[in-house]
Formats: sequence, C-alpha cells, structure tokens
Amino acid sequence: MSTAKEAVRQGLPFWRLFTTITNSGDIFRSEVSGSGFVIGPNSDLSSVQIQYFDQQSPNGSNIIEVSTDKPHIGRLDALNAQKYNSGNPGLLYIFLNQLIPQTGVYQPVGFVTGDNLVLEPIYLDFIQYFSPQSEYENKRTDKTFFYPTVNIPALGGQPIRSAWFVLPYYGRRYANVMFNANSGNINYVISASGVNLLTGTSLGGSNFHAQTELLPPQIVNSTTSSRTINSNTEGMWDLLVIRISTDTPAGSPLDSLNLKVITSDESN
Amino acid sequence: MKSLFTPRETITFTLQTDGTGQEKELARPSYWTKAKLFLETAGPVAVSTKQQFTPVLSGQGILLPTNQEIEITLQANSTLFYAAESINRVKVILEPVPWLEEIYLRLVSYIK
Repeated sequence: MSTAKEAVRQGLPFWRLFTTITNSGDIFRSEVSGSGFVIGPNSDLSSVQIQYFDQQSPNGSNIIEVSTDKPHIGRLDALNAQKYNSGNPGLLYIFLNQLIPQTGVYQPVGFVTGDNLVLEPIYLDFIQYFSPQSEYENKRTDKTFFYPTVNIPALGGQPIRSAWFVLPYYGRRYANVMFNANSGNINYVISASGVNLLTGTSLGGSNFHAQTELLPPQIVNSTTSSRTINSNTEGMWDLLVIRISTDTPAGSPLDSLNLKVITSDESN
Repeated sequence: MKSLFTPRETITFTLQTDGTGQEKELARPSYWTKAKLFLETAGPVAVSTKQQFTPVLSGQGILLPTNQEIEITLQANSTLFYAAESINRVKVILEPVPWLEEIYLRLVSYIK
C-alpha cells in the first residue's frame, strides 16, 4: 500500500490512498501534513474522517469529515514528534465512518443457503494534497458493474434459487439497472433493494440491516429491460442489492442473462 | 586583503525533513551566501539562525510558506538551522554572494 511519506520522497504533489476495505475498523495514517483532502474519483465510500493533532482542543485532538459533498481545504498538520493523549504519535489518522459488509458474514434478507452471492469489493480512494491547488476535483466517476453471464445455482423446485449481487452505493444518487435475457421460454424474476448497514443484531443474533425494496420483482424473458433508481424518490443507501431468480423446473437448461448496473453521484 | 570574487559553486539540493522536531543544521557556508528555500509540501518547517527555536510552532523560528520562495542572507561562517515535525520536501539553493563579501571585507578593513 502506498504511503504519504513515500509520495513526498518521490516528489509527488499528492498522496493517493487507493485500497480495498475489508473491515469497517480499518485506519490509515499519514506522516505528512496536507493542504487539501478529497475523496478520489474511484472511491466506493463517499466519506472518511480525519483525526488531527489540535493543541487548542481539550483532549488534544480533533476530527474533521471529508466527503464527496465537502472536501477539506486547509492545512492539517501531522506532528510526528507530538503524542495524542492515547500515546499514539500525532499523525493524521484516516478512518471510516461508513459500515462495510463483511465477506463471509453479510447476507441480504431473503438469502438462503445454496443461493449465489456476489459481494463486490469496496474501494476507498482518498487524496491528500501537499500544497494548495488552484482547483480541487472532488467528484466521483460513474461506476459500471457488468456481469456477462449470470450464474444461477442448479434448480431444484422450491425454494427458488437466486443469484444476488451486492454493490457499493454509498452516497450515490442514481442507478441504472439493465438486464438482457436471451430466452423466450424461461422466466427470470429481477428485483432490487437498498440496504443501510447497521451495527446491531436482531434478537436472534443474526445480522440485521435495513433492507428496503426499491424495484419490485419483474418477470423478464426474451427482452432487454432498463430501470432506474433515483435518490429523489428511492432515498440513499449503503448497498444496492440485485436479486435474480427463476422458477424454471429442475433439469431445464438456462439461457444466458446479462446484467449491467451503472451508478452515479448525479441524480439526473 | 582576501582575494575577492573567487568563483564559488552554487549548491542545490532537496531537503527531506524527517519529522523528529529537533533542530538540524541546514547550511554553514564559509562565505556570504544567499539561501533560497522553497517548501513544496504543507509543512510546518521552521528555520532560524539561532540554534534553539523549537517547538516548530512556537514562533521562535521562521515558518516556511508552501509554494513560496524565501531568501535568507547568511554571513560567512554563520549557520542556518531547520526543524520539522512531519515529513516534508524543501528545495534549497545556496548561492554565493561575492559582492556582498567584498563590501563587508572592505568595510572591515576600513574600520580597522
């Protein structure tokens, strides 16, 4: 993983932290002071928090949030020789304020054993500028997820088996869900939900997250279809969950099904 | 009288500060010199001709501004110190000033 220290040694004007996030508790540190902090163009997460040394604060430190809506423009010092009250060096600490679905733990509501689950990796793209810039680009690019062949597990009557696609949607305002079924005989049922991850568990002890249906189940066969999700009407979510099922009898061959999802920060 | 206008080399290098917060020697020329300093990173980096001026943000030294060159004239055999509490990059140009040295030596000679 890249470090701010190495970026300075290499003569770069900024440090880019671009990494997959495996745990909501991941913390990254910078030994270098910065003049501007922004969320990078390829980030799935839409915000982070930065802890910095602040002698005027009662506890000797302070925290500022940096998001796609609000970069931080201004100097934050990494004071390597100082120490926080906790005893840690007075560096800049970058940590997450959004929850991550844990691989091997997270399952969407409705998931049953035997279903296929595609959990897309979550990336953080964070940029720290070392000197003032004339302009700070703080816009994420649109992100496309494309699955040329959707794999639905072998069928066996009831319950209906499904393929699930869990996509990062943090701070996104728009999604276009497109699918193309090359069959006149097989019915696919496609639906989409929004999930806000929570830290608590249900009474039964299992993970419990706020999952709301955004696109009700739609039957697709031999068609290309495109549907949109807009934050103005459907709200904002941490994850977008696409579910594709079929009720085709066991033993019947499945035809190919393409799925393509484009997410964007723009609502129109 | 000392031979004047002796060709001297201009010295250029990039200083990478290590963030210890301790005063360190940046330059100790044996002749009159203009030190041009250009901080490429956010700092804070302080410089001073005094040996003790830390902590960096105490205000006892001069804080280098980012992306702006500052020039300090150093007398022969004087020392310029720096201190930083973070990792930084500073472009340094040490440029001899023979005419200043001549004026100084002539003045000293005249006073004597």
